[in-house]
Amino acid sequence: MLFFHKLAVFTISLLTSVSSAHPGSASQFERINHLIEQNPQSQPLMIKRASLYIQKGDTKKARQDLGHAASLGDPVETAFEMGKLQSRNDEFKQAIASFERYLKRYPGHALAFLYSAKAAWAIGELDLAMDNFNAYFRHASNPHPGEYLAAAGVLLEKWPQDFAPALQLLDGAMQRLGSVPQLQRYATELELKRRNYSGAIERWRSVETALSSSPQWKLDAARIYIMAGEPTQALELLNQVKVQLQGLKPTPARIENALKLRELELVINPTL
Amino acid sequence: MTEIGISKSGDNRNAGVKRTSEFNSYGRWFQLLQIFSCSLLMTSSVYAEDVISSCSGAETDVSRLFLQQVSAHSAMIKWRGDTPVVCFGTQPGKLDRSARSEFIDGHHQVTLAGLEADTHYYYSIGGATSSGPGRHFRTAPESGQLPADGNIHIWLLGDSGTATEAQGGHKTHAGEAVDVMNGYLKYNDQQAAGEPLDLILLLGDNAYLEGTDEQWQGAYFDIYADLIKTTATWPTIGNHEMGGGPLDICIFRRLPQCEKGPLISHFGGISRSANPDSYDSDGDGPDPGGLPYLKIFSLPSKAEQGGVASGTEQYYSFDYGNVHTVSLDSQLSNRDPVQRSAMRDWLIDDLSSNTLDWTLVIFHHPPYSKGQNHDSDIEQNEIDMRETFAPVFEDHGVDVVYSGHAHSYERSWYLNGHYGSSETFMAKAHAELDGQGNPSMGQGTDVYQQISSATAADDKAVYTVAGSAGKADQENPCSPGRSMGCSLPNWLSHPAHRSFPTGQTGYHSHGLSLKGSVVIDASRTSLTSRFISENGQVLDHFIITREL
Repeated sequence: MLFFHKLAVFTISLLTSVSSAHPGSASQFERINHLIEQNPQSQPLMIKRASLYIQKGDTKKARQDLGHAASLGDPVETAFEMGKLQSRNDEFKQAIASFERYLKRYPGHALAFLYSAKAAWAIGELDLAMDNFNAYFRHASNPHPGEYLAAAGVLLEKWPQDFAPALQLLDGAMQRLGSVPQLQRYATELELKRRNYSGAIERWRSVETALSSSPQWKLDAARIYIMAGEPTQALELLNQVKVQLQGLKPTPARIENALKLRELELVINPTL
Repeated sequence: MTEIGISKSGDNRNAGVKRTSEFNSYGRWFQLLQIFSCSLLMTSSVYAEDVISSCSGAETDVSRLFLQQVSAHSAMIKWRGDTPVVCFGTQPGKLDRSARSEFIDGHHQVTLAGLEADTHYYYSIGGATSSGPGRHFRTAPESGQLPADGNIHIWLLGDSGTATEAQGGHKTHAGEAVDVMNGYLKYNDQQAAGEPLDLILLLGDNAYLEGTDEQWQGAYFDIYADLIKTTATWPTIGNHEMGGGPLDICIFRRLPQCEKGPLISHFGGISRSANPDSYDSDGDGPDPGGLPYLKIFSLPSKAEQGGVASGTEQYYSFDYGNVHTVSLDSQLSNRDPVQRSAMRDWLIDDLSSNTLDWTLVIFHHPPYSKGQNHDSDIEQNEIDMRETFAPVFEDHGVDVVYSGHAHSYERSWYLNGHYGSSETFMAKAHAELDGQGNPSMGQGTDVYQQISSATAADDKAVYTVAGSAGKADQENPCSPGRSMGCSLPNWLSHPAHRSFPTGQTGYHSHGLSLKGSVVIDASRTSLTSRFISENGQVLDHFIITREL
């Protein structure tokens, strides 16, 4: 480490303009190939190039590099990238084993849990997938809303007729992240699927203020009321949308809203 | 964000306050513990006990004093120092209300609630009844309204963080960010009648090279100290906010030492992770504290200031008067398909709910650029922002989009539907045209109209790259086989950007390699964007108008 820093300081002192450059992806291979050429026994460099090959989709070269990297040091250090590569090649069981090896060495590695969860999901190991998703949520200091949606998908696959676990997960996510309309929209759709229309209405109503009672919110709400067999409420909302759109700046999305409005009106009254 | 109660001296009516008439022994002990803890700990919450001081102390020196989330009825103050007490009021010599901070992630943090809209407030740190110099702010107007002066004045800084950029112990861009700031101040004084700032927007790369806490101090908090204690800062994540990785310097410059092997150094700005917890400042693996950006700034993930809750501080939105601003995460969330999709869905929800006059979007990686080292035809982050998000902007009425990344200035025509690479741009298909059939400049008699006369919809946006608030790339032709750290023949020639007359230093066919920053003025009927040089000159501007 000390040597590394000394080398860096020495080197930087010779330069004048390097730091103004920020290499894009086009130069990544050029750079790493040069590094490896100069330092062929470096395991981290070999792993790094494998990672780039995985991103690029060149799995053959990635595997070659990882195999070589494993011979240059402790093979466990290659396990995370190997797991990613195996996932990409649909070798999910092997991927899970690789991530497990890596997690034994680095038990708090949130991303290894996340990738392992997705690999386990891919082969239907749903309990393992959820265990890993939950571990990811525990270890990640900033879990992303999108990953909660993915985890809800696992629970739906595990209990296709019982949406309660997925709803519980989404509610937990909203407790942690706040009432994110994206998460509530997903939960609302689940309520609709299980024909809990009052639950769906309650959930969608809960984000009305958050979504500023927008035309889009009202159109979605009207659709729910139609599904719930409450066309009067739906029509009332559609009438509100009609007035609201007239007062708002026209955008392509709002022009599309007007078309959806017409579609829903026809669902309620095909003779219109 | 934590909001705590406030008290009014001599008045117990405010809710949420446990008021004590005097410090008891426990209170004194606890205060000592707080001071001790503050000096030792830089992470997590340290105390939350309610101990209210009346405003009878003395002004205290603090470091890193800045504002966050200044809305119509609340304002957050953050600072570093020993004292947890803020006094505030509407008269500088009579601060009659007090609040006590929490200590979170290395900062004192307090949200003053129950404020009046569009009103000047003065404050002190430490309990003084009079405000210290420059310790004041003005709350936002009510949502949808304009401030009393009829104008919202916004300053944008891209890639300004060069004060901490150094090589071999020498500052490579010393004073350049200050020059740009002084250029803005000169412009503001001489050409804008000292218009008060309402918002400061950061376009990323505001603390070189790795975005460490120390670099943020040197590149941002020390330089803009006088401005950020009166005006709220709203940032976005750039590549240099996200640490770095190893780089062989021999790729850029063939030094004699390169004959012996690679000269590997850790360089900021080249992380490819989508995970803020993988932030690595020095090349020895993830830092325990995570991404400093997320510790320093307190951003509205729960729609605390309008907009729609995003659930993450990595991207967010807020309202200020008649301007809706969205900050997207082109560095992290944009890298992962699941996260990118979630960010896009949130953006659609957010923009669908927005009814304010003007909509402004910021993020770091420009969808259209031929900057030095940063080509939007090649860099995946830029391609993803263009292909995934530009259609959403245009479908949902976004007016202006600002990015940094490239250390130059490029400003697009009034665009719609150009989502491909630069060679697919066709002015007739993708840009607003003037009376002569040329792309309109958005100036003089050809100002842009928010609602297009051709489509009767708000379906166009201007995209600006303004990454030269700390340095500007210079002409440095690439030698054969070299493409990084030098200027290629197509430098600053993206056809979707407005053309410039060449011949002057720093002027290129479609951009400027000159230092500067951007100022936006938004009234009820027009939005004007200006690029201000380090000398205080307006080098470009465009105007979008809207009908009432």
